[in-house]
Amino acid sequence: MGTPLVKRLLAVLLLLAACAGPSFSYRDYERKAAHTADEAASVVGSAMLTVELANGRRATRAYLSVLLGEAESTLGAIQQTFEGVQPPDRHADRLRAELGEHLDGAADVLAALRIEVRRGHVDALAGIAEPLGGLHDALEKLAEEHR
Amino acid sequence: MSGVEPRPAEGRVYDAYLHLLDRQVVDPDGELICKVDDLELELAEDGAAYVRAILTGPAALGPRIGGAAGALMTAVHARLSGGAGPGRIPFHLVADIGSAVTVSARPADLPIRGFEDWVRTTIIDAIPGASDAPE
Amino acid sequence: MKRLLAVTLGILTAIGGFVDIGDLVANALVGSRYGFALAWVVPVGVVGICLYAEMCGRVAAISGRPVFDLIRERLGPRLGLANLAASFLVTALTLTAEIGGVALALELATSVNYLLWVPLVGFLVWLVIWRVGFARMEQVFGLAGLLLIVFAVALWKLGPDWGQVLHDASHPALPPGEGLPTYLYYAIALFGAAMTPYEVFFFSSGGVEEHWTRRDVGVARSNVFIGFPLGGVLSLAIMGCTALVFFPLGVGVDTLGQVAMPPAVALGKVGLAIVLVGIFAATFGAALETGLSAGYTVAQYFGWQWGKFVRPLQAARFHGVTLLTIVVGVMVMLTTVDPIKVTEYSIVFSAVALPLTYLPILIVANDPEYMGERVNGRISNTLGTVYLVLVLAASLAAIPLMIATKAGQ
Repeated sequence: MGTPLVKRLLAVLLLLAACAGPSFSYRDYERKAAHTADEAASVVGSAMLTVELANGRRATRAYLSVLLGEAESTLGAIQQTFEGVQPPDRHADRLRAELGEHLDGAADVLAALRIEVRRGHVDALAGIAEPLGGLHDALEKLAEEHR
Repeated sequence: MSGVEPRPAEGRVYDAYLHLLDRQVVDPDGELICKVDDLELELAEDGAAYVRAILTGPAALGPRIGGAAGALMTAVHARLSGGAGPGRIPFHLVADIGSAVTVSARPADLPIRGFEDWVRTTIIDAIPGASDAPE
Repeated sequence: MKRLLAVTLGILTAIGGFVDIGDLVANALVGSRYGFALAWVVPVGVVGICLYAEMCGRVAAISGRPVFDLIRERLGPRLGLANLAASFLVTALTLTAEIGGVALALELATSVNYLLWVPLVGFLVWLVIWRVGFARMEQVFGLAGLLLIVFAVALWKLGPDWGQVLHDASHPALPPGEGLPTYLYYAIALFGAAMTPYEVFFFSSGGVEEHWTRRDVGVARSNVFIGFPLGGVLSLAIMGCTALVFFPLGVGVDTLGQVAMPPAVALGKVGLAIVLVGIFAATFGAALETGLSAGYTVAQYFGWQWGKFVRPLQAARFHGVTLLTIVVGVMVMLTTVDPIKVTEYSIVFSAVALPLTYLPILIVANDPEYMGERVNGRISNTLGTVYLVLVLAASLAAIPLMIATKAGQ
């Protein structure tokens, strides 16, 4: 494979590539965060619709229980995936904390919803789900800002 | 097949490739027997090739498919059947050649039932209702 | 009168049997993400399936042989085998998805985890195939599947601005934040869901199961030209429902529970009950069809006796293949892979396999040896060729788009 010159060029290129590493800039992290916020907002929105159904007595407990359980586990998976990503710098740390706060809040509400619906307390769901509206807006705003 | 084209004294002329190969073989009642996977040809003294038998089964089909798939087919069949050759239906049993090839024998009489018999006796027989007539 | 009843029954069965888990997921998902911007794909897909299903039905009625049986004769054993491999694998994947769909529907009704339902569903699917007569099986699940009309009722009840809907559907526009590659990916997925290979093979084999003759060509045509388009309307209703309920809130549909939500929103518990029964019937019916189709394709390639019109003892290998495919489907589901993901893969791979499916049909339907004078007319051939080009384009673009968009992220 080629002359000594080519070999040297290849070596230099390989070295450069190794130094640069999996080039993961703040911009990449931002996009990941925005995508995560989008997905999380979708799950939260879906949970809000589910609670509305419960409020209007328009669904069975079994159905509500399955949907809220699915929402909780979907959000958990989204959160886990995001938290597994290494933030590239301090600036990213702040973003991570902000998004993490919203995700934690949503996870808590969804867990509480799941627990109460499995106990059959369908009437209590609306009260528990109150923070979801604000969380949904916050997540969408974060997604918009960092798209 | 060479360029010699002996015309028969009477009857239709068939193209073995078009009208015989890969055709469905059925019994007089229309029951499905097998496909014409290959043909056994015999060369007579006058140079013409005659069809002696219909060959069927993985041992016949494998070589025609060729390549890795065909080799696999032939090998698996050889392993499971203990080296048996392709199923063979003597050509004199063929009664009609239309969109399917009609053979004047019952499926049970033909020596080509290995796999079907095995599946039937091993699995299907054991399940209740296997001999029930269809609704 | 009896004839009219039979024809009506056939049409209703075709409508109810048109929608399967692939259509449910694809239409619901697309509606929630794109509103009505992909609605145009459904009529395109419906015309395609009508065209080719008519050919397959005609082949079965005139030649007495199902289309797949004739593919090997016309294409030779090698191409026939390639066709078999692709068709069988896609059908088996679809069967797996349908089993998952039935289990999910049962979970939504009972809150018992779907994994516990999967083995029971597999057993029931096999049992119905084993014991229930073909015509009755088709009719029961086809008619029960008609309950999915609840989506149309829900759509009407949700009271959309129809003028706006028509405008959005006829002027497709990318919603903000969505890219063209993903849009095209979902267009192909929707197209694949409408034209899944097993549908045409099943229709053809089913015609032979029901002993169609040339007199039944009219029956086959009414099933196809009235039943399938109305089934397409059902698909659009599903899309419309999620477009109205989820799209404005930016919520993406990715579970079967969400697919069932609009009828609950519009019609309460009654709507929910009806839609769950409808989904159960549609996916169970589709599981029966794909299970049988798996057996049909293999048996028809190798020349084995097949069909429910003979005793199982006389078609042992056919029943063996069906049983094995169901068992494998159950096992795949039990690996806890997401049934919705399996469904998405099954429709994308359906799109990839489409040319292999449809080209041979066009060839066989033009063959005077099987069809006599009932070969394709000019319309069938012109449209058929147009669709072949479409189908080829979709097939070639499917995998690259899937990779590029990471399966529609």
